[in-house]
Order: sequence, then C-alpha cells, then structure tokens
Amino acid sequence: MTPPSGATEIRRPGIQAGPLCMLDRMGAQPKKSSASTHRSRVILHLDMDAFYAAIEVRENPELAGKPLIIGHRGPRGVVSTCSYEARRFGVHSAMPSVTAERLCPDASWRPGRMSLYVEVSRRIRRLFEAFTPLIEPLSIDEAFLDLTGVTADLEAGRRAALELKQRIREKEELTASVGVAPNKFLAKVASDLEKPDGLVVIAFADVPEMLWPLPIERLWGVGPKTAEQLHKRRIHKIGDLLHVPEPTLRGALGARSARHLRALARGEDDRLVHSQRQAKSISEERTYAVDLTEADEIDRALLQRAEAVGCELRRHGLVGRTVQIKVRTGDFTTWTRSHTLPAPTDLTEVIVETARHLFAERIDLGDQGVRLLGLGVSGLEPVDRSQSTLFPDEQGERARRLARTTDALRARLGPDAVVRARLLRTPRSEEEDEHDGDAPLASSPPSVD
Amino acid sequence: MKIVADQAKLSQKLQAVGAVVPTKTTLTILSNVLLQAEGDQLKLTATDLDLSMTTSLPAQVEQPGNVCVQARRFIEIIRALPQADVKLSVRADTVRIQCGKSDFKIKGADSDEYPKVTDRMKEKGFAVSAGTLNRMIDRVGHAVSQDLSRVALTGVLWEFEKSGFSMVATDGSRLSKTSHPEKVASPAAAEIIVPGKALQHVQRLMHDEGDVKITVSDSYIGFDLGDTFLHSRLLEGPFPNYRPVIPKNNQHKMTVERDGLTQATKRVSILANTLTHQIKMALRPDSVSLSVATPDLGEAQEDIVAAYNGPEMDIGFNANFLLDILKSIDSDDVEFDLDQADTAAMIHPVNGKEEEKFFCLLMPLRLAE
Repeated sequence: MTPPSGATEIRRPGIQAGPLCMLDRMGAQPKKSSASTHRSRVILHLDMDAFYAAIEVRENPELAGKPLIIGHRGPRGVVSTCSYEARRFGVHSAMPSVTAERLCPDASWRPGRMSLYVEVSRRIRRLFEAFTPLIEPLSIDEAFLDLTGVTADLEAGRRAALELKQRIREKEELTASVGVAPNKFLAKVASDLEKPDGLVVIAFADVPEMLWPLPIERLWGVGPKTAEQLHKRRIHKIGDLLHVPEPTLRGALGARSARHLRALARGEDDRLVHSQRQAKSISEERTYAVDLTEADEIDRALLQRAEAVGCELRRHGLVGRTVQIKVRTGDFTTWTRSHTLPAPTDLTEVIVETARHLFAERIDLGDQGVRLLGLGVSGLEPVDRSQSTLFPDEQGERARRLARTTDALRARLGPDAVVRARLLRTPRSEEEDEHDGDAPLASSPPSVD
Repeated sequence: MKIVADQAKLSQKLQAVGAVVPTKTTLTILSNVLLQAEGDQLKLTATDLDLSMTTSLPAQVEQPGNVCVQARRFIEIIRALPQADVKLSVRADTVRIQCGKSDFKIKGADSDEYPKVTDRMKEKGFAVSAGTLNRMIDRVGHAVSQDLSRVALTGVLWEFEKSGFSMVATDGSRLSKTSHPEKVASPAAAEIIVPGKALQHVQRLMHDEGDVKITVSDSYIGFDLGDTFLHSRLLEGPFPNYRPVIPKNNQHKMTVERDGLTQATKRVSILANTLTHQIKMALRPDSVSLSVATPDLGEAQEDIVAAYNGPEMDIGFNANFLLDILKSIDSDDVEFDLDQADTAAMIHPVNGKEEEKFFCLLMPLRLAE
C-alpha cells in the first residue's frame, strides 16, 4: 500500500499517521498559516437554531413568531428547549417548567417528539454528505464538517456554508448557524456569534479582533470554577489571557490548563474532525408522563428499550458486552445498574433478559413507580463473524437470522412494520411521553463519549 | 503463634498461594492467607472456595498456632524484607513481623473464620510424571475457552480409557487433544472436566522431575505436588460431543517446517486486522504463501517452503490461534490435513511418538472476497 500523499488526500478517520498530524499541527499555527507550503484547514461548525422548537413551528405554522417551549408542563417537568421568542423572556433548556411558566405565561407548550427530531437530524446529516465525508456529529443538532481539500480556502468554505444553509432551508424549512474557521475551536466560536441563521468566518488574522474581546467563559474548559479563578486575577476577556504573565496563569490553573487556554486564546486548536467516532455506548431512555407501576408495563418498557438498542447495535454492526439500566422513581431516586456479559451481543433477547435480571435483582422500587427508564449497552466492538465454529450455536444463529429479517423489514417499511406481540398495545402512559431535558437520548443515534 | 522462617523461602511460598487469593470477593475472609504453625512446619493456605492451595515450608516453631492475615499487604511486606530470618508472632489480633531492623505490626483475623480447606483426599489416586503432565497441559491449554457463558469449555476434558488417558480442550473455534499412553488407575468417573485455571496453577507449581499424584473424587480433583497440595472443584458438563467434528477425510496434506512457518506467520501477521488476526494461506501445487491485506494498514506476503499434495486452495486462519498451535507442537515439522477452505484443518506433529497421539483442529476464517 502506498502511503497517503498529495494535497488532495482526504484524511481517513482512525489513521493518525505522524506526518499528517504534524501537518495539521503546523497548519493550526497562525504564524504559519500564510506559508504556502502548509495547508490551512477549512472547518465548519453547524448548529441548528432552536432545533426542536423550529421543527414544531414548521409542523404547526400557527406557532410561528410566538414563544414556544418544548417540555412537559406540570409541577415536575423541565424545559427541553424553547424558541428564540421564549428565550427573550429568560427561558432556557433544563429550567424547571414552573419557572418557565412564571417567566413566560403566554408561551405555547409542546411535549416533544423525539423520533421526529431524530429523523430530521438524519436527513440533515445526509445533506452534509454532499459536501464532505468528514462529518463529526456532536449531538442531534450540531456537527463539525472538514472541508479541507474540498474547498480551496476559508472564502470558498464560506460559499459552501451558504450553499449548505440554503439547502437546509429548502429541504427542511429550518435555519442553521454556521462558523467557518481553520480549526474546530474557532469554528464553534464563530457559529455562536450571530445566532440565529448566522454565518461567520474567523480567519487566523481575525483572532485579535473577533476572539480576544469575547468573555473567557466562551473558551472550552472554562467552567464557573475556572472563570472565578480568572476573574479574581482580572482576566475577563479571552485576550487578557495573553497579557498576563505565564507564571500567574500557571499558578491559577496549573501548567496544563494554562498552556491549553493560552493556545486557545491564540486561536490554536489542532484536533482533527473524526467522522466515525467510535461509539462507546448505545442507549435509549424515556420519561413517562405517568409513573409506571404495573410489573407488566415495566417489563414491556424494558423490552421496548432493548429492542431499540438491539436494532441500533445491529444497524451499526456492533456488539456490546455491558448492559446497563437506569431507573428513576417518582421521588427522583436514580438507580443505575450494569452487568457485563461473558460474550458481546447484539441480540434483543439477550439484552432484555439481562435487563430484566438487573431490574428484578438489583433495584428496589419500594412503593415508588418508574418515572424514567433507560437501557444502554457499552463495551462496544465491531461484530466479527468471520471465525466459523466447530460446534454451531443453533439457538443463537436462529435468533440472529430472525433479527436480520425484522431489521430489514423495518428499514424498508418503517419502524412499526414488525412489532413484537408483547408490545402491540401501547400503554396509556406512553402516549404523551415527554422527553427529559438533560438527556436527549430517546431513540437517539449512538451516544458517543 | 511464634515462629522464625527464612525470608526467601517464605516469600516464594506466599507468592504461590497468593495467586489463589481472589481479588474480588464478597467474603472478606477469603482475601486472607491462613498461617498454621505446627511441628517444624509453617503451612500456608489460600482458597477462593472453588480452588484451594496449601503449601508448607520449614520453620522454627517456638509456639504453635494459627492466624489469618490480609494476603496482599502481607505478601508485599515479606517480599520487601531483606534476605534474613523473619520472625512472626501473634498477640491478640495483631501479627508482628520482624526481620533485621524492620518491625511491622498488622491486623490479623481469627483463623476459625477461615473456611475448612482439604489438603488430603481419601480416594485412591494415580501418579503421572511431571514431564508428561506438563507436556499434556501445554498441548491443550491454548484451546481452553475464556468464555464464562459456556463454563464447561473453560475446562479440560479428561477421558479415562483402557489404553490410557486423554485431555481435550476446545473454545469452539479450535480443539486440541492429546493422549497419554500409560494406563492409570482410573477414578470412578470415565470422564471429568478440570478447570483450566487449576491446570495453570499446577503447571506453575510443578517441579521438573518426579511424579504428580492425582486424586479424583465425585466433584473434586487433588494434585499432590510434594510440598504443595492443590484442590479444585470439577466443572459441570456436558462437554460438547467433539468426536463427530474430528474430520476423517482431510486428504490434502501440507507438510512444513514448524519454526519457518512460525516465524513467517509472526512477520506477516504484524499487518493483520487487530480484531480478526486474519492471515491467508494460499496453497498451490508448487508453492505455499502467507499473506495479509488490511485496508488502511497495508499488505504483507511471504512464501514458505512446504510440500503440498492437494488442489489450489486459499484458506484463512486466525494468526494467533495458528501460532498457539505451532507453539504447542514439539516436532520439527508439522502437517496440515485439509479438506475445504471452510472446514476444520487438522494440524499435528510429524514423526511424533506414535503412541502419544496429539492433534489440533482449527476452524478457518471466512475470507472476505
């Protein structure tokens, strides 16, 4: 095999070849960006504007221009997300619904339809694919795209971003904010500058003017604690970080963080866009509008979660070793329990059996009902069936064939084309299921982290 | 209890029993070693309830007695001491360790709490020479499964027959069987499944010479290694019925020099997929070559000197499994008996001692087209 070479070579994920890393690192240095021998990168960060709320407005045009809150109204609900109109009243995600109701009494409320949002997210991701294969999704409504080698420079990147925004508007009637920059950090900062429907380019040359006046809280890795430490030393803006003596910063943050923050303040960030980040777990969870109390209801909920996770594992060609369940009871006690299987699996039957066992043996509900039920599989590895066996496992083989068939039918005819008999009747409490604001994972794509 | 023992000897013996102490246990007493001083011996015991080990070393016993000490710390201390006499004394629940100028006091536990551990079995046993036992375990050990969902496969099947006794191990993808020609006084059961882990311990503790006395009861097996006794629960069957999968008609034979094939496999597999470890063996009437081609990584190929009498065939193997097998064979040449690219290969020594039957089966990897 010949080593990757040539300026148009697209970096493949997972290969961290020395020379390419070197190239990227040097490309990220502002002082070298102008040198023609080093290729400067073109990175896009795209962030959908108030994603869930915007989809709801699209589906219900009468909501347009009015404050809209996605979440479950009621004494114990939380705000999942809200429209820009509601944000003006101070409403934000993860806020208790009662607070939001007080701040914005006239807002319309919608419970949230996760499966619809996931579907839209997938379609938008397909639009990205027309631009570059190097896509790193960060969440359901946010992604990095690496256009290096596809576009000549940042200006061409800006034109591509415009085109992408246009396509999203045409196909999905939604707006996105995009940042274009030579690295991930600057691109992310840029996408946030003119939200909603923004398009901002930050070149290295713009760093003093555009980055330095921003508050230090905008830097990745600066949380409230670090911010407090920095404020004490009169460091308020990103530019201030470069004006304080290095030892002062080291004293406040430690050598590693000091070095890291100073690099960011100079606009340097050499991380690559990883298109296929190796998923570490696949999980699904759901909060119920009415607590589940019947053993049968809970068991069917477990089966539903297991079916969704199993299907997702098989779709990605993965098998996992550890099954975890998460249960939140009506009094907000949260239990997580996990079990590691002797051999990795992608079979719904094995996952649900393990989950049932965990639920029965390791969780004590007391007199509480189940408010939230989640199930995940971690310890993932790509499935490998190339090794044939001396003693075929006939039962497992049958289950696998059946899963292949039902998965194929669902892919062709929709998720409800084949439903387990046990899941045919939808329990009343699930009809208006609400999604938990801080964990948007229901039928989510593999959670990566 | 009050005794004096040699540091080096004590440390060595402690590390041997320490290997049995479970790292995770709900029964805290099991994280201890039991010390028993009597006569002119110090006896050390460790168990995880399935596997137990007792071993003795000479000691000056000034005052006999028993005590339990937390194994990990105790072993660490004894190992770190200078090579000199170690004095152990127990007062109330404190164990004092003195050696040269060092002086340690650690908390002990009541020896009565320690589970009862067998160090002799009443059943009639049989003896196998250490060399033979070691060789047999080497030959089958690599095929023992690590998959705890099929417990029987984590053990080695011992079959007692008129003509001698055999060991068989398989993890589903490979199988090894070796037979011992001497007739042994067979136990009541015609076959037993001995945990692979127990055999690993036996191998580590075994002396190069002499015999190992083996005793089998209904659900236990005991290994008497002179100064050490290992007692293990047998595994529950059934062991898979392996006889039908042994190929009878593998007529295409390839003979190859074992060391040459080992070295070539090691080289070529550097570029093998880290998940499948797949290498391809291309068999041609006049040549045999090994190759790998892993996307994103690279390609490697090497021709090997081999004699092959069959038709053209490309067959894939897991390189690690192949290397394990080649390592377990001790003849200069090995023979591969093949049928199809998707059926088991039988691999065995050439010019091995006829009466010591030994072969391995290896299922091929499906080659991606």
